[in-house]
Amino acid sequence: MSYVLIAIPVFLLLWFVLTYNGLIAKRNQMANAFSSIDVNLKKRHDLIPNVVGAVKGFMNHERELLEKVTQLREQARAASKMSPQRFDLEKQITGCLGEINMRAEAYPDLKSGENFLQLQRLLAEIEEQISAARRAYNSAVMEINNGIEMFPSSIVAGMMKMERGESFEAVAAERGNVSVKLNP
Amino acid sequence: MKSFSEIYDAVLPILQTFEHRRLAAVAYASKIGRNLLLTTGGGVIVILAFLAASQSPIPLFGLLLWAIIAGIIYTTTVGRSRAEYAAHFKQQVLQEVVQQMEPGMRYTGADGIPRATFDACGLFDHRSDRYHCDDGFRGTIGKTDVFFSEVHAQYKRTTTDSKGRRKTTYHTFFDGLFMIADFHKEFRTPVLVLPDVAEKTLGFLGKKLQGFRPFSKEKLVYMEDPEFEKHFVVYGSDQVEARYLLSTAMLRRILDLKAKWQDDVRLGFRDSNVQIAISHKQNLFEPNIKKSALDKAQIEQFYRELGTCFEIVEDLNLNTRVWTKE
Repeated sequence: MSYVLIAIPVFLLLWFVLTYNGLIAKRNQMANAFSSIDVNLKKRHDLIPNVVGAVKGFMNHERELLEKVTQLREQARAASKMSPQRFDLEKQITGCLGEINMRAEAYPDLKSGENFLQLQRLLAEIEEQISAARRAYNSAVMEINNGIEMFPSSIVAGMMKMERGESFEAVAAERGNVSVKLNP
Repeated sequence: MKSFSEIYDAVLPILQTFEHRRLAAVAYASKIGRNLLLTTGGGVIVILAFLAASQSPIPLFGLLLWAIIAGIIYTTTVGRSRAEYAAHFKQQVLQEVVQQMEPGMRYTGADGIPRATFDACGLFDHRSDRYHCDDGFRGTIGKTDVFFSEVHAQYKRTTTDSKGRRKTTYHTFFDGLFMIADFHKEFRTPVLVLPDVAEKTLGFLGKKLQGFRPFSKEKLVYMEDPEFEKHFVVYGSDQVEARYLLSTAMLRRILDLKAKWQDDVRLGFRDSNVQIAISHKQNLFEPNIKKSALDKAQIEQFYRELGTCFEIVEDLNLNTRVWTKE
């Protein structure tokens, strides 16, 4: 009988510690995935001047589009990390970069240039990394929300005052990402 | 890729020389069999005569011993002759078919996936105690470096019964095709894609168990594709990188690959490569000595088998180089 009296609190303590640590790990995972998105978005910001520099000599008629993407980049850099405004700007940048790629098809000299091809590859890679980070973030959000809402971990989450995470909305335009078409 | 009839026409001159070889090998086997049968028949007559004269069982044992020896002689000599025929056939005919289908590829025979590479892949719960590889192919398909072979790997289990007698048995844990191909994206940490056994059998509890890996660096990576999750479980040490490698399109491609082979499929991403293990009981690329070397159906079977293996590169879209890795 005395063993049972000792075992129950030990078990409860062990469960509490494991659940607590599990929830912390999930929260950290979510933060890590979010910072990966941020890092890759910044990488994309850094690449935009190179893209504009590479294409402006060829795409004289697209000056408006190039100016727009440069302006959006500046606004996105100035916006705060988590704001809806920031994500709206990023979405517009994705659209502009896709547009540049599409219009580059009309400039054979540009699209066959090694420099532009390399930039396209870099952009494609960054877009894939953004997409991967976003998926990781959504998965981490789902995990943490399950932890918060499901019994019995919800008890520990309530004690920790944990808040539900918000997943990224997969907007169709964002899903399409930059359409990269390379010469064979 | 060339059509089968084009390839058959290109290989035909080699096949014609091989038909002579095959007939010679078959004639040699018949000759050995006939001689052994004659000597055994003669022995039977002599023994019957002995038995008629005396009741001693010794000549019967002698006949039994001779039958065993004759069997061993037949299987070793004829077996060797058939193995030599098969080896030469593969070296020349299979090599030519490969060259015609994928000029960048070559047949490397028994020089297949090294045991150390297989044991280090991390796709199985066991390391091999017995290992055999056969029919290696190496080269480039499109822009992708590829190396694959058939692999048969077994682990050893030793048990001791109540009387203290030890018994060792070998169990196959992989029999099929093992491929290593250059992966088109840069990555740092390994990612494993394994069949989902636990979740399939135990449901939610199985999923929880899959996630419990306190001593492993590779943690469960949950993929958002429910169909993929039904068939596979993914482990990786970097949640973002695992998803970078396994894009949503790649998940679909892996599912299609599994549906195509209709067998256990495992993938490991490490050292800049993707390792693909496909269980496949049927022994691939084996010529049948009983069939004419000119037999179109046999060459067509090689063509199909090779095509299915080469297509893995396209099935997984490995030739697409839109990322920074050349």
